[in-house]
Amino acid sequence: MTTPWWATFGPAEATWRCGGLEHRLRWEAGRLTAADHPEAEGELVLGTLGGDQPECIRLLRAWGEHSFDLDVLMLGPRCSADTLTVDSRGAEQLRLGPAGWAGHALRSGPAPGGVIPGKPLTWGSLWFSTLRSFAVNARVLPPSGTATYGPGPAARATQLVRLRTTQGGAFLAHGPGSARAFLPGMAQDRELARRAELLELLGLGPAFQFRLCATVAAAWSERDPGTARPALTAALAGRLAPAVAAWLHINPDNVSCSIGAERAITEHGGGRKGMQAAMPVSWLSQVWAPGLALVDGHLVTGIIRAEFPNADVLALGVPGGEPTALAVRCENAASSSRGPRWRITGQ
Amino acid sequence: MQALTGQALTGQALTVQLAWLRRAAAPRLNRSGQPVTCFEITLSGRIGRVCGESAGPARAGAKLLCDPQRSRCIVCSRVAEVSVAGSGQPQADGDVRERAETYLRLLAETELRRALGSPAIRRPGLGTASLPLRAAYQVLPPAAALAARAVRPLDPLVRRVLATRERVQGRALPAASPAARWAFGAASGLAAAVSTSVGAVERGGWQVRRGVRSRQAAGRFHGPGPAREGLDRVGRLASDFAAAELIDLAAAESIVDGLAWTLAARSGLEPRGAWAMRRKIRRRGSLPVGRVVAIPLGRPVTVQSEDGPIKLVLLALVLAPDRAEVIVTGRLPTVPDGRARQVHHHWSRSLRGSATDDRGARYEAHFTGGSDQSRIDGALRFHPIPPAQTRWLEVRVGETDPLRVQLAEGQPVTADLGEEPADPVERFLDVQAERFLSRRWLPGAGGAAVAPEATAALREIAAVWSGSPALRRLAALFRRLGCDCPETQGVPWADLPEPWASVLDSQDATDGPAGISALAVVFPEIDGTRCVLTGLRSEPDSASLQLIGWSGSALGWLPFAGETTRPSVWARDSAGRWHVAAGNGGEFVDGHANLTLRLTPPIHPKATSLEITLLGKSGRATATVPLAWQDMP
Repeated sequence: MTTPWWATFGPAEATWRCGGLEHRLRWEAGRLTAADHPEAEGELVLGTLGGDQPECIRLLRAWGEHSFDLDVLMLGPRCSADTLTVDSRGAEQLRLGPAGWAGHALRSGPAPGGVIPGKPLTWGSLWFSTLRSFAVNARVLPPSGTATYGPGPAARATQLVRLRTTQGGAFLAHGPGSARAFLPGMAQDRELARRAELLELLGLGPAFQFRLCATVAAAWSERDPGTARPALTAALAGRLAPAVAAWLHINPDNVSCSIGAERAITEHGGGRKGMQAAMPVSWLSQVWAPGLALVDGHLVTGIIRAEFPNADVLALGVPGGEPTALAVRCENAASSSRGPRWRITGQ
Repeated sequence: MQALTGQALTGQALTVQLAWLRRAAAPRLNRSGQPVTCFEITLSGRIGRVCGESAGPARAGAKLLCDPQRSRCIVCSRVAEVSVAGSGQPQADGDVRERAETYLRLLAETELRRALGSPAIRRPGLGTASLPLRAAYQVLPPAAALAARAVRPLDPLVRRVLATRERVQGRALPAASPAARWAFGAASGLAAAVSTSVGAVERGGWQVRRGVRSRQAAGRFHGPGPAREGLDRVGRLASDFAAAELIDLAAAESIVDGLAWTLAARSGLEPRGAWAMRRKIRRRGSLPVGRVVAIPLGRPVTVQSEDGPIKLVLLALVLAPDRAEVIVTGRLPTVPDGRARQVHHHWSRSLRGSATDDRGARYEAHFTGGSDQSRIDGALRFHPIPPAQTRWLEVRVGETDPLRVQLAEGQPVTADLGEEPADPVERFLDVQAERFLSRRWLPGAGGAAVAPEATAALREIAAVWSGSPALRRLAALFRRLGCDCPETQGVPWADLPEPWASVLDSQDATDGPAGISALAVVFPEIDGTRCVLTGLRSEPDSASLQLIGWSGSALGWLPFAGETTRPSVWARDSAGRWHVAAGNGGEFVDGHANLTLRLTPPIHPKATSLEITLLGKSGRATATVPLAWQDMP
């Protein structure tokens, strides 16, 4: 039996302001649930049909929608020391937007004489200038069955929402607290809201950031990357290289990474400096995201069996060596604000 | 050394701004191991180096500048560092495009890591390293510990990306002169957006957050500097790849914006500032739909201003569905006692005009354009825009008699279009060569005109091979100029194209006539742009073409502003001398451009006509215009 990718993760919990109250969002066994909404599935469907949608339910839906989103790997953390300073309240404001927010064209391009003016651009302008990128980054998965990541029924409801959005050209919502309303043709606004949602999810904290990254990596690891290969290669390189560098105490710039099933760390040939590393995309979800990349001086390359907080892993002691099986255990509490700390407990 | 010094001081490119020149402190070796003398120079406050390795035919002013930040001699030392790939034929298009995107994304990851700052590299403590690793470090040399393992072949692209980035980063020097600054500022819409975006992030509070807690330093920003530089590098290369059609414009922008956002997400949101900024709509440029007419005028006029009389020549009237302008060039009145000129609006308020059409409708015009201390280049822009069926316009500027311009007779000179699509990558490389040819005379431009990152990257991803005709031409050009560039290492030389050779042969000419020739040529669409040439200004050492244009790009002015994507402008005078054009000032507003192109070398004194060619990926268009010189104002 194959170990599920989430078996090395402990549960995680965060609070979120919902209907004037502090509600709990809980992630466990690969699923995000709204602990204070026992009828979450019904509320989600209701929201899809145009009813009010509580904040917690909206986040569940967003989690499902971003379960395949390569932007997650682009924006998400590269290592435990990589601290995102995303503020969830600010992201929410960005999503909702101010009343009467109207667009107007500004003078663009260099000023007479060719000097580009130091325009007082802010997050808003940066935000808008990147809308196009999300349409590109948010590539859909190649058709290969139905993905089941995220909250199962919620994910299905998400498909309904997506269908409505696509077919109708509008994402209608009614009343406060519901999803942002858009008029037909406002595709850019939809993309803006989508990015805002992603930032909100990342604003849930590091534990959720890593879990969302793992969710996306797991979704893509089971499929032919297709046109997403460059983005996945970069996502892997951005995380594997620092891990290898920390392992060998070398500069990450001297580590080149590629997607490969061989799970190998070798020295460059031909007299070149540095190391080359190959790992499958699943390494991100199974090893890197739960904080298992480096355990007591070993580089973990794969999981044999796992049931949090214990796991049997394959790890390298030296570059180019054969991986050995190690028993490891996560020592700190699952809800700790610090990253998971794994220790070798046996061989 | 003496010869180099003398040439440098007399070279046009360095005469104005060469403040001081001295021998660099540290001697350098060329690839043959021989010592090479380099000179440090100061150009407008920036320090660079000029290599003295080559004593070839090129003048010192044409030498590539060395990397100022690392004090590393690019021309000399890069040769030994760069390993060249792509010796075979380019692979399938799809593979190349995937490699290009991968290259860009890996570069973005590297720049992100650099901006965040990697943790310090230190030897492992005995208590944290595994036993085998400790053994490997303490008993065996690392290479020996690894030697027992067979090296497994991996993707050569990802293996080389980081090394290439290391080699080429930071070598494109920002130009020093206003013209070159303009060129660089306009060079990449992507890079521009990136720069301004990062500027916003700076204002968003990085500096406040930076260094608040030192224990977080490893995963946090090291300030906006590295981020800005990294974004600019990625933006530049993305723009170049897009120009070579190795990546979609949207994908290129996606990668750059993605990096910008990834950096920004680590500095904290500023929602208040975000909403204070109204949404900026990136207006798409559009080509004129309908008739475009350009009529040469050549009328001198004088306009009184508070500073004195402003002497102008009305070069041409351009009437298009979305703009109506009279292109002007002229001279501002002399400022007494050598005082600095007052602000722009002081004199520009006087530059107004009006027009009346055959049906009695009246149009007002105001000046738009730029000036230096004495010279004006710009246009009188009419509002509203006269309708297309207008038969004539009577234009009045200042206190002079009105000038009736016949529009019903149609366009006097129209360019012929030859549709000879060029390979985008080959064309991109040719554009690099043309930029180098056209920019080397611009003060301070030096070697910044060429894009070493892009050329190296194209070879790394095997988008171009050593037998590429364009690469061979580029290699021949560098050889002719005495620049031993690693980007063309191992590339067999081709014969220089006749126009390039002609430009180089006449590079020292200073025999150009002094005068203005009104002309008006409407060019067909090339590479998504439309151009109208409206005047020629000739001086002893160069000439200037006035151009107005439109861009239909989804990225606003990128194709025009991006020097690698807009059509090249070449000219050949009737005496057989070729001239290459480079942007030398102008404005870009909402998909419209008013540019001044500098032609080098100067027009031959015996020339009576000029054949002007616009050359792009989609084809070329050529028109011949007579030269009728009149005095410069």
